[in-house]
Amino acid sequence: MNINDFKNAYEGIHATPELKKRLMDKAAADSEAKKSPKKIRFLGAACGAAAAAVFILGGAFLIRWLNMKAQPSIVVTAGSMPVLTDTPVIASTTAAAAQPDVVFQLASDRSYPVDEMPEIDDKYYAEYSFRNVYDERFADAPDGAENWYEWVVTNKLSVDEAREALAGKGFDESETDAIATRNKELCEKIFADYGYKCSLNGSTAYMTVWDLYSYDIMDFYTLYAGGITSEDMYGASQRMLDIAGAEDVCNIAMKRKALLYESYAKKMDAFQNGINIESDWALQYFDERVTQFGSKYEYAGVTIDNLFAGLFTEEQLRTISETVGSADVYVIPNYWAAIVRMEISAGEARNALEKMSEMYREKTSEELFTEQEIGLITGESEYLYTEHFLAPCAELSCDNLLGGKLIVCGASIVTSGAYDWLLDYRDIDIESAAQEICYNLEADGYDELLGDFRRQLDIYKDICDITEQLGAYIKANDISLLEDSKPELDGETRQLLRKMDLQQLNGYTINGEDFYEMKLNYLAYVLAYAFQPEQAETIFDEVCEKLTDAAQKNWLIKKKYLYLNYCGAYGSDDGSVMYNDEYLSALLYATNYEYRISGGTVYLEPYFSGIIEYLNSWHIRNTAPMEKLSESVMQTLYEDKDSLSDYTITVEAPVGAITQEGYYNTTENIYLCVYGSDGGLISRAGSQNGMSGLDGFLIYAAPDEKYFDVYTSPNGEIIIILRTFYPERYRKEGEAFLFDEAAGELKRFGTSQDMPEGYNYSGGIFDYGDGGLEPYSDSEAAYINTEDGVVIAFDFDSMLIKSFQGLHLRSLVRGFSDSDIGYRVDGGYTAELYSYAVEGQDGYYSAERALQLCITDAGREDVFAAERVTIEGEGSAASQYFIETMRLSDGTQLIAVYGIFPEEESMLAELFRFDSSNLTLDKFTGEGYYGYSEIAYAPGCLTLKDGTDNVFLNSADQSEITLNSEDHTFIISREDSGTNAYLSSDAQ
Amino acid sequence: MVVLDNCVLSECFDLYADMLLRIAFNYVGNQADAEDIVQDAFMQLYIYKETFEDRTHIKHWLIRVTSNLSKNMLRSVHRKRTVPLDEQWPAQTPAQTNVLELIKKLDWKYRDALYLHYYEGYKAAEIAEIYGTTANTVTTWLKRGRDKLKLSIEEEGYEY
Repeated sequence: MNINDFKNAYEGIHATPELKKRLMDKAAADSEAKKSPKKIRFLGAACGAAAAAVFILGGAFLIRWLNMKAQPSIVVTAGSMPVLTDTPVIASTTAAAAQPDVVFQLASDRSYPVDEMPEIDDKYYAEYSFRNVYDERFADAPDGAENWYEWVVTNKLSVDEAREALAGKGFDESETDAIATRNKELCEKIFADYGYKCSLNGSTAYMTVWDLYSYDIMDFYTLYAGGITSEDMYGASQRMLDIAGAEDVCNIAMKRKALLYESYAKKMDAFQNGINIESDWALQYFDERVTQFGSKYEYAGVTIDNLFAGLFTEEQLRTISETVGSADVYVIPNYWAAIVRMEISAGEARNALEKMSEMYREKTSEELFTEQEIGLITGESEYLYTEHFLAPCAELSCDNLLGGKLIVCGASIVTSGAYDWLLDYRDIDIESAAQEICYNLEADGYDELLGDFRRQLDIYKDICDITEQLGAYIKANDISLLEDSKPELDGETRQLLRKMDLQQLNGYTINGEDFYEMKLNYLAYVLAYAFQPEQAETIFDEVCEKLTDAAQKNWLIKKKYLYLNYCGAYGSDDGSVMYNDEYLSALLYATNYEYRISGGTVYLEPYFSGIIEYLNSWHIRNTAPMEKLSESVMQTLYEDKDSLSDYTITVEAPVGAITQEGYYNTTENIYLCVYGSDGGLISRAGSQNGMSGLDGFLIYAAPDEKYFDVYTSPNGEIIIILRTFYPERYRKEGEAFLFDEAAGELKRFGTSQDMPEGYNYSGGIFDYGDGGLEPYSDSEAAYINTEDGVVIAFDFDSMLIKSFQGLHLRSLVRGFSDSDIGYRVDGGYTAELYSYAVEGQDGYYSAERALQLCITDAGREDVFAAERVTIEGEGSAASQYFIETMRLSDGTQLIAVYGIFPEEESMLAELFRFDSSNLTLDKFTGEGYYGYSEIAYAPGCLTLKDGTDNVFLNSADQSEITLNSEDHTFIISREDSGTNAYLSSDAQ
Repeated sequence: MVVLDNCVLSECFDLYADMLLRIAFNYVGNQADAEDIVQDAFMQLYIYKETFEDRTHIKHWLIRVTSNLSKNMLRSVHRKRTVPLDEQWPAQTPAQTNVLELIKKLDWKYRDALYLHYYEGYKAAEIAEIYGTTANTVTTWLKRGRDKLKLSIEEEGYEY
């Protein structure tokens, strides 16, 4: 397998002519639609209908339920099954469990009264699905009308004209009659059918064929929850195949969908056979999801109970757990939060708010919004709006005075994409966030969309004969709070969060693939505001006061000092994490948060991934806050250790898990900071790598182990403190040695108490294995491990600590700490590259590197050879180093230490020759500037040719690789294409 | 400046569709979804109201949009929960299929970077421009991607 396989593998992937035809047809249809002002785009129509359904039904529900309940709440369903009904049952059981007063259905293009659902009909099934999914039939609809009835009404056709127009459109005679004669009742049935009738939670809801097709709905669990059986799906699959096979509607995609249906059917069979739906389904559902996401840790500590704690009654919780068991619930705190992003006119906003207030007043005799508040919301003054409305509104929300919760549920994706139904008429702002398609609400198309939307509202109002028209619609866009691409919050949200009771955080549980990340972000958002430096303590205390649960309050108070160092966080949208100090803070926060809510079990892997990555980059960006933070945290935890003793923490972060995530290169790099069950600190696990600057926080040390702390002064003097690690003696006194670099000596001068001012921590030396470390005889530069008697000493030439016998020790003094590379050298040796990074004046970081060669034997390592490596580019320092090995013809091995220089887009290498016969490591003369190139080859397959140091021969394919001494590039000449060496450089 | 119309759209499709399909393929792993994504990407292009400086600009734009659309699709719970069809990579040999399967397991940024760099011939700086990041980051992606691919290839028992 080689690079050619890589390249050739793609050769079979080609866009088909059918795909192009589909695209061009779609573009043509779109273009045609744009030409006529009357025409609307399908999406607009769909959204419009949805909005109509939302608001008309919502209005109806609102009125009904306001008559029933004193505290109206609103449920917004998005993306999932349509709502439905005139009873407080909606398709999403999570929403249903909330027993909302008002249901806004956002994503489906249709909603149906329960008692008017016709039986499914294959003909309509086909038509409807085509029309809605592929636009093909819809494109036939005149003037972009939502349906033929609408078109007939809008164009005021006579009955005969309508009959003529409807001919050949797939309507039978009775349907044609109904449309042509504008029989509204019948037409409602005609156009509001083609759905699956599904039993749900004892009530009835409907899922349209369109929904079945929708990506957001094509969801096994939703189908299952909806009562769809495998027989249904087999039938649907067959129907799709039939449709796809029909001459005039042949469509490969349809066949694909049919196969998908079949797969669902099969799964349903299995599912039905193995699960007791009444009792076990929720749990199974949960486990299934966890399994699918590949890591149970992703659902760290989340249980059904704490997921919904504070939001629902016990009975409601039970309903949820017995039905969906899903974390698909987002909560946003108030009405305003749902309105704020609507960008509707002041008049429309006023209408909506007044209507809400009126409804609320009718039921409760209380004002929902005062005139002043409405004025502020709808007024022109941003200042008044933010300062005088938002904050009080948030307070009201905190106090639960706004009458319930605005719950967004049924959303099938965790991001703001749940509301794409409105924003799908989007333009992409390529200049903004790098990783996201951005919805440009300022674009012309958005206004157009809204215009269509409103028109659809009116049309739908007529069709449904509902006189109540809401002049505005709520878009519960507060889910944008969860946008992981958002680097920081806007002021409004921060205002909101500022007032938010942290107790409600339980209700903000987020699920999905970015579960933990979202969660972190959410927490971080809260903290970002709450702990701005100038008001940190005050706000912190305020937040604490809001907590009514003693345990929560205590927990939060304990973390005070952690958060005081915190000032912001961000994540990324792809599941990876961002690597700044703040983010690590958030990680830690979340770790503890999970620890708290999980009732004794902590799953840390996701956070570990982030921490590992963080550490991986941290030495490049050695900044102060983390060190400060860790000190504070450690001190706080130390002080609070007694109060932590009630908790038992089980750490489940298997070694190697991180490697599976691909974050780091060895199975040793697990960093763990967990509070043990022994009264506080602290069971720490981790490798000996990557601890620069993170003293006392992520270091590895078991009680009674000895370790070094290394401090440096601005002048370069080094003090090494030999300490004994134990939680209660954290950063306790230790023996202090001054390292005299010039003399090459370590001089004991007392204890750490005697350390002069001005020294900064610059790293540590850890991991000596079992036993203690004691000074060795009269040498102050050598120590002996009491466990195995191994002598350890400084090598003043290489600045390395060397072990003289088989002890695994590979740390460096002077802050050399991070093992960038662990690379297997042929013959059982491991080459490792350690680094020490300092910031240069040019903003880049220069680095000193040390190459070590170790013999690895059953987990123990000997460092037997080491060299300093300093690779500097022109004007910048390498941002990353790595090593590769090759074998020379004389039996020695060549180890290339590469530095990557972003400015030159290049690599620079220093070469070392390793002679395993006498265990020496020497500089190799063939150093050079290789351009942005890299040789990838199997270790050992490259031999030096003909005695020259500059020409190598790849033994695998006999290709010749020459080092060009002038431009310092490799040149490869191949004799055939089967080489397993390649160059990717410009020099190629 | 390039003004988009059906002709340009058609031309762009001819020029870039294969590439975009492969990018999408890297994400979703089956041709049908990849085609959907590519179609969506071109429709986004079609409705995009801004002008492009040149074909390269369009190409970069399409790459990013395709990548984002692919990620969007992967993010949907629908996709998470659905049972994938047993579609095969349309590679021509078992070795190529294996390579693609291994590539598919890489994180998106590594996949994209490797593909664009080694297959499409983009330089790191160009890839960085497309994805709005730094060349350094892309270089890192390439390095890590290679390492991971190499590791996985070796774990599969193949020679790298």
